[in-house]
Amino acid sequence: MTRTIVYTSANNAYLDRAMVLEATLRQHHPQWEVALVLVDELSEDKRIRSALSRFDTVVRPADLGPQWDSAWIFGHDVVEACTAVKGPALMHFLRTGADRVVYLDPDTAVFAPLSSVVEALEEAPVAVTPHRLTPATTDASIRDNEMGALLCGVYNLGFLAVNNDSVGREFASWWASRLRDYCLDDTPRGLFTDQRWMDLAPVYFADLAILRDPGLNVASWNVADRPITVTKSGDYTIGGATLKFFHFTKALGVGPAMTLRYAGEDIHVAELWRWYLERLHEAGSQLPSSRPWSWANYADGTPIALRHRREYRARRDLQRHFADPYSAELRAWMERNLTD
Amino acid sequence: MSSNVRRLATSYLSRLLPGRRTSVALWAFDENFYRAQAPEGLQDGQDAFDHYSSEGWRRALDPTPWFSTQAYLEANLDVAAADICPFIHYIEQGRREQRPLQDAGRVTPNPESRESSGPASRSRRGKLPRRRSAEELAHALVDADFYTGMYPDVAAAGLSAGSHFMRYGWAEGRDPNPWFSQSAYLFANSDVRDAGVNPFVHWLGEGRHEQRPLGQRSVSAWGLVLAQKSIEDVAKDWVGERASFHYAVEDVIKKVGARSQEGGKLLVLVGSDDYRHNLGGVQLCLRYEADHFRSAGDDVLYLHPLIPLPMLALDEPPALQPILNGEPLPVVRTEDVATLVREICSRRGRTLNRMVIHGLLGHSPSALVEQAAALRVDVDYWVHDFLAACSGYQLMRNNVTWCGAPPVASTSCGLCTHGRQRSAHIDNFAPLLSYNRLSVCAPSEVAAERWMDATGFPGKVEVVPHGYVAQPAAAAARPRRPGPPTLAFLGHPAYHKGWEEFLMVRKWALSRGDMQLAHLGSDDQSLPGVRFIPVDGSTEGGMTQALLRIGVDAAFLWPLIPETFSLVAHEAIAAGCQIVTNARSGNVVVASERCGRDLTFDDSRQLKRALVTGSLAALLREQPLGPPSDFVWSGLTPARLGASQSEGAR
Repeated sequence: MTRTIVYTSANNAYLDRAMVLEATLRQHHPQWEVALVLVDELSEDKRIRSALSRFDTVVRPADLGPQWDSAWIFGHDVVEACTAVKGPALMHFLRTGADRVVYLDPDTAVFAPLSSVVEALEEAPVAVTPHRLTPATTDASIRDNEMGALLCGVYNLGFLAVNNDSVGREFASWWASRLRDYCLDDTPRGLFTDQRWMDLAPVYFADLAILRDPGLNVASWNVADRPITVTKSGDYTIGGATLKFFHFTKALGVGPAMTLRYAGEDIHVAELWRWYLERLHEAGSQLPSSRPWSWANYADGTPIALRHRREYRARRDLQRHFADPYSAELRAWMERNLTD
Repeated sequence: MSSNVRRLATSYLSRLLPGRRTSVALWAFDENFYRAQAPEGLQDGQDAFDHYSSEGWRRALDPTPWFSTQAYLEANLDVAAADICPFIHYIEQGRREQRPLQDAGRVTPNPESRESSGPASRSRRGKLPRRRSAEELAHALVDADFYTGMYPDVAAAGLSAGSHFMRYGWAEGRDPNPWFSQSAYLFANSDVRDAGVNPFVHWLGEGRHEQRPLGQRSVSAWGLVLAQKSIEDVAKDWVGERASFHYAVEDVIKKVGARSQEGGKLLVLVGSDDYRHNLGGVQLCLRYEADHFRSAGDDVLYLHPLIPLPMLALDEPPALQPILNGEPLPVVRTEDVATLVREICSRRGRTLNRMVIHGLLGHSPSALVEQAAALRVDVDYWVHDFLAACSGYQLMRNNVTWCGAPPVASTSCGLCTHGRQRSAHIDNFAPLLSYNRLSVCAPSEVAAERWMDATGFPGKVEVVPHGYVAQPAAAAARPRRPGPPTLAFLGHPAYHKGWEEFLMVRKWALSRGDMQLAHLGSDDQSLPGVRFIPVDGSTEGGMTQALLRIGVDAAFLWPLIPETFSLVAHEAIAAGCQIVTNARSGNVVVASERCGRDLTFDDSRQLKRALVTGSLAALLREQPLGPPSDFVWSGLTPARLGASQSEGAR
């Protein structure tokens, strides 16, 4: 039987989202192994331990190799760190002998078997989903969605699927190496964490499949082009295909309103959001309410400023001199030398 | 085009005023010109006018060489905001109002500049006149009739509607006109909300050019959906802190008085709550049956759950409140119902007639039917709703959208507030539906069809209407009162009863002043512009009399789900009213069509068009009132058991 590992990446704060994803994956793909890359220290809290036990495998950055240690994490904010580890984790899961590995963002939820993904991997070593499948038709959508895609990447890396063949492994190695040093939210320099890198992938890896199934990776940035209908038998079809997974970006922030902005009068999208927020609340209620990131502060409890992280990441001399960047010495150096 | 003519000809509305105007739009439509624009998606053989009026205008295609869709929408922002076909609007209303075909787009601060406005003067002076600022446009687009009607307190400020809105109203969340909702716009555009600017000015100055959504209906529906809690959580709220009860059937039996005279029967009625104190169609049915059998000398034992629930009692069979001939007895367990019934029959010399079920919320149907089986009694189950298929007994997914009861494992059920316990719900109901002494009865054909479709019930459903509207001796139509027609919402102002649509009606009625509005019921919403008339639902004929008394021309009955009978529709028909409804309203549209009293719209979009163009008011002005009559109760169990037993009915 084909062995499939599907993994997500989250810190403890996003554990509630990962729990919802895990439950929906089990429902539609009970044979798949579900793994979590936990970008946080392992908590002693029983509720967090219980949540982690839902996953078949939990790996931490340190498990992925010495170059992904806490000193490397210091150079990244939480989003960058959680994103960057997707690359080495892909290599890790391929090394375990899985036939194929699928990545899903923790804030996605699966509503039907990912059949079109499985079919695509019959032929292609790598499969990605574009943010959009059709040209925008309103100025607002051009600016928000098309120009957003030009800025942040053509493909949304809330999803990625890779075969364990030579091209797939080569792809994973290339991607992970870029993410080690250049997984940055620095759009003026053409970088947006892992996504802009993927714009190059169809050139480097010619057989890469660009999935055009409108039921995959539905989100605020494409929902306007994919009208949802509910059949008499209760199936959700989107743009004519079965809804397979929805990307609930910024669930506790502007996500619902942003989706409304493009979904218009489509009440079915509101129903998806209602369901997701309810499940998120239920998952969150099983966890401690405060789940701070382990690497948010210096050892003395002082929050690490983003510019400190940037400075440390950019300067090899600092990295050499301060082997433990969380120390009071580095903080003092930063406060002395970075005055703004 | 011929298919469209046929469609229009067969439409009730098309026989009346707005339809004739739509026909004008049809004939003014230049099909060859339209097809020459090669509209995307227009198939060979497809009706071009249909294509234009449904989607072509949204793509800025033009219906004739002389009418620019885009120019008309830019010049008439209310039409653009109303989201209706601009060409039909122009033909039906815009021409009479001398609406501009294109935006003059200039302000005229003084007579001199007025003379100099327009393309000719531009070329003379070589200088573009100043366009109106967004603020000036916003001020001009405040609808004074609407604004002062919605917000009567504005008059005290001593300012014009426009000045009040621009100075205070926008910051107080007031809407400037019927087509712009501040709350909807801000909900859909959080950046505008964060900026703290006048939302209407923002939309006029920037938002409309960026094609930002106005929200409108979608926002209220989105808000409603997002606020829905799972049915299990709602049930927890209903139950609250549970008191503990002492259940001893012997204590109950001691309270059952003996009867001096032998004979007569015992009828067991089952409902969801105490019909003596709650109002509604089902409660009236229960009262009708209890009164009927008691007046015939029989005993009536009514059972309802001690703790009302919005779902079945799935954890354990509930405690029941027995009421014998109107007098409460001590609480019993569901498991003791058979014992109690036998003791009543024994002590009071009764034979058991049947068990008639009108409601099962808060009950355990499986436990109840066990008691019926022990008694070997016939059970009648009345279809008042779709509870047999789902705890969402209106079959509205997330209490917002009609679902029709799809399979339990479907995505639809998985996403619904009722989805998680529906499987257990159906399992609990199954023994009742397979009980070999069960009869299922529905008050209308449409109820029977929809219920069988939803439940998959393989047996027969007997159709017995609750009653009928008596034909008066002189069945002549009556002239309506002079002045604007009165349209009234009847009953509980709930979302699924079409209250949102009635609020839309209110906005346009205030703006146009072409209709008077009323709300008849027991739940006063205190809305300016809507006259509230309290109607006690427990008084027989009270609704009909109130409608006649205040001279209501039409009842607004817009359920979002198919009604199984609708007493209130029959009461309105008895008052000679037209029934303004939608095509999916079940027995509302069936009953009103049967009497020729229906004004049926396909959906709320078509209703909105009739409001914006004033054609609904025109229709109501043209229609005479029906002759006054009465609704006569004649159905339910007495009708099933034979005419001889129904003589005691009211």
